[in-house]
Amino acid sequence: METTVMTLTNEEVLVARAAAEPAAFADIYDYYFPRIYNYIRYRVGDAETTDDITAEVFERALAKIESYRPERNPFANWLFAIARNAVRDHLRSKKRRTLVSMDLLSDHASEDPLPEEIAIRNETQNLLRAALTCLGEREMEIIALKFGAGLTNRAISELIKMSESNVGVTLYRAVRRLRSELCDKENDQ
Amino acid sequence: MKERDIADMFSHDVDDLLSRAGKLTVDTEPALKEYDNVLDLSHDLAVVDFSSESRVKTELRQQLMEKIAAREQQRAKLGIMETIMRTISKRRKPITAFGVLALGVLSLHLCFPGALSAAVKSASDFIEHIGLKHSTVIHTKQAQEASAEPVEEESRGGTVLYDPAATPEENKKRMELYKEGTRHCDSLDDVREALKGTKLHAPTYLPEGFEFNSGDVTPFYGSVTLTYRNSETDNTIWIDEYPTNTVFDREIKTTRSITKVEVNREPACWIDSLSELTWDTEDTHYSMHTGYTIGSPAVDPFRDDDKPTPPFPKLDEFIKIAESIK
Repeated sequence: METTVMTLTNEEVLVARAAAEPAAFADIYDYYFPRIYNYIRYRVGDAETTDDITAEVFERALAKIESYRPERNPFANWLFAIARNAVRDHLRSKKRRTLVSMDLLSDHASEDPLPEEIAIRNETQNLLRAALTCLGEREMEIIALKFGAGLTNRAISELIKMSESNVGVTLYRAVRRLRSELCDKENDQ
Repeated sequence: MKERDIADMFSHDVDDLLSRAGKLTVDTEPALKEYDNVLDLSHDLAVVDFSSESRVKTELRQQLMEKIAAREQQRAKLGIMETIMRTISKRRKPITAFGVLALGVLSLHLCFPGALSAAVKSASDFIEHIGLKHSTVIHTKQAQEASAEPVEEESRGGTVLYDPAATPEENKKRMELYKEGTRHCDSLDDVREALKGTKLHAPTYLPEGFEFNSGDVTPFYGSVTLTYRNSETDNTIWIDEYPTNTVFDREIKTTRSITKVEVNREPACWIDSLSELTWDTEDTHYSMHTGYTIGSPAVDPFRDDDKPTPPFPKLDEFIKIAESIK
């Protein structure tokens, strides 16, 4: 089953070797780190917490990789199940929804002035993260798995126990709602 | 155009965006202006990469690689100790049998100071076990931090990628078979074809509303996962099958209560809180479970509250399904 829209070459061979060969694990890490990080960042909001949870995900994955069975589950599904559980544990321990205060969005507020391009990019990302708070939990999860993790609708449906067609409809509605929210925020500025 | 059709088209276009790393190549009709705007936003989402803000990426990578290297060094040491002990016991049994045991225990403690206490702690975590035809299910206390899944399965032996006793051509074929990975099949006929001669065992009885959805076959192990789905309740039953000649000495550990039951008069294990049934036949290991589990983190806490949790099959239904597998 294709789980990610883009795939890691020789993934199954690398996974089989990863427990014993640092170089094989490094290839998997390099490929999945941005996806895991982006997924978690969509879900929790701030960079520092995202770093903590991302590290925890890879620690858990390394501890359990020898018990991974490719015939039970595609590797991406297995890894993102660990990521989902880690995010869920964090959110439960904090006893709060994934709402991000405007203060937390300004990760670079105290730094020296940035080049214009980077400043514009950060502004866009900040607006995006603020708009994401308007989404419900289910919508946020699907957005994070689609655009953060790069998973196919089928893989998302297996992970969150929802039919593939419902994933597609929810995704479309969520992005449409996000656009509406962004337009409102841009008009307010 | 119906919303579902638009959503299908949207998903296809988004996957196209993601595969092109955000490069927009989709042309839409002028009448779908709103769709165009939504796709523009998808383009922005597709190119967003927050990971450049990570402050741990490089350091974490280094730490994990060092952990792997250190773990392999420890295993190499343990391997040498085992070889020494076997050599001594061959030459001077039975006189030094006790001495060998004492030497092994002492060496283990010196090389791995925590190992003895870990072994003692492990024994005290044990609650009960159920022996199946070729497997063992063990109920333990929750001694360590929660793992990713409430059931952990380990097997000894199994199929190897490289057999030093085989010819290079045989090992090459083995690697090619391994690289085939898992094949997703949409029909039972496709599953049979993918199994390449290994017999398919499928149920002839299913609870009302359930029908075959898909099969995932791993030719390297000759194993298969059959998925049956009830489209009304959105409930799913998975049946995992592993040949006993490629996966043996299966040991399943769980922190959940276990109950001994029977499938076709052979011992089986039922984990009620997970709705999971495990059993063996002469040539196959089986595990059957549903998509929703009581009291488990796997149950999505963020599901819509107005949608009731669908009822899933009880033990008697599970046994009926299991006993109908031919």
